[in-house]
Amino acid sequence: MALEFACGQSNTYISLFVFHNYRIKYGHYELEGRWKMSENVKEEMKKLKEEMASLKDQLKELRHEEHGHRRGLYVDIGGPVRDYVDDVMQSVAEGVQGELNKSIFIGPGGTRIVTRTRQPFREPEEPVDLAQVAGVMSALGHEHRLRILNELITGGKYINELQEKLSEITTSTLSSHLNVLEEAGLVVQEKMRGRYLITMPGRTAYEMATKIASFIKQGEQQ
Amino acid sequence: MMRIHYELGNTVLKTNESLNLWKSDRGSVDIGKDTLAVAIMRKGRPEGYIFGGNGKLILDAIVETDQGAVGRPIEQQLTEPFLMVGKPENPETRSFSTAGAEQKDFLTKAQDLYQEFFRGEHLHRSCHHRHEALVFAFKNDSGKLDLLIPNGSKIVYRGSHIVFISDENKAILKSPEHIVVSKHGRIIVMKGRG
Repeated sequence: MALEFACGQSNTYISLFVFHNYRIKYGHYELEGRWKMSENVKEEMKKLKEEMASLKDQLKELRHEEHGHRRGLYVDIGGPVRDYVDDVMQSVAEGVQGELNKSIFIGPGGTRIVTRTRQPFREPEEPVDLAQVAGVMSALGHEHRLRILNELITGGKYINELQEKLSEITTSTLSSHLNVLEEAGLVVQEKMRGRYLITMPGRTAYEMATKIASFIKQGEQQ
Repeated sequence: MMRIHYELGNTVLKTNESLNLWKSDRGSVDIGKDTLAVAIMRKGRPEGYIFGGNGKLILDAIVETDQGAVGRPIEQQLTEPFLMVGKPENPETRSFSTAGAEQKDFLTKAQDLYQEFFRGEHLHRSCHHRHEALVFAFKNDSGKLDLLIPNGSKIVYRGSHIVFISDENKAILKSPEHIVVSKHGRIIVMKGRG
């Protein structure tokens, strides 16, 4: 005798064979019944497992969207609201970019990062060595030396290359200017190749000097 | 790591002429005439020397960046004994003559330097042997060893305050002021603690 159970929405059937005959010699029927039952259940289990896996995936995706960047992806907030949010996001992005620009420089040669710890302003623990400041400013205080720095910004140069650019001064005068810049730490000379290189402070000092001059010029025009 | 067994010679030599021990576009190590030397032997052949007297180290530990150069040239007079292990053919044996027996002070210092260099697990034991790099060790003011390992276009220098590693398009400089990493035009500059 066989009993069939219909399993709701999934329209699957589980067949069970029940034998009222207690005689063992009909065991092959029982065996056949068990085999059928086993195959059907296995098939059903497989389908359920697949369905479960699919549901789990969907659940995972939903959770990811909830916690991740895709939150609200399916919500269309409409024209004016969207524009407003875009404006806000744009201003936030500009602010972040402004902050990042203080620490990250991106140039054509690749990405250069200068990390600077952002700290609140406080009085320097050690007094500024004004004599040193005067020394740096003094080193900058000559047109030829500023021109040398300007030439070195594009890359290291040998003295003869600098001489070509500053042909109106003698080699000894040029050497003298280079010594002044080197002593102030604005230029460094390679001992082996002999090239002169502008240092990081040298570049900063040169850029600051030119900016100050530019501000003064703008002030005069106004 | 391959272990190589060295032993320090017991004959003090002196150079007959000025010698260049290493030179590249980044730096050089030179010794003057009459510089004392004692050989570092391996399998009966000199495979290095400890020099004492008149030497000079130059190393341009400078990294060029778009924001300006970082680092400085190192120029050091080598008056205290320093060690070189590497190419056995350089300098040639004929560059030396026997110095005489009155150089006990130098020999003692050379033995101290030898012991300090070869004790412990030193990388240079294997690296110079496998890649034919030179290894220089200079005692600095704090009593520790500064190491210079030039190998072709590659240079590794570890000083008391500076670490400088350079290859053709790559360079790393660590100084109290900056840490600079440069590779194929990409540069990271981190400000040090000063």
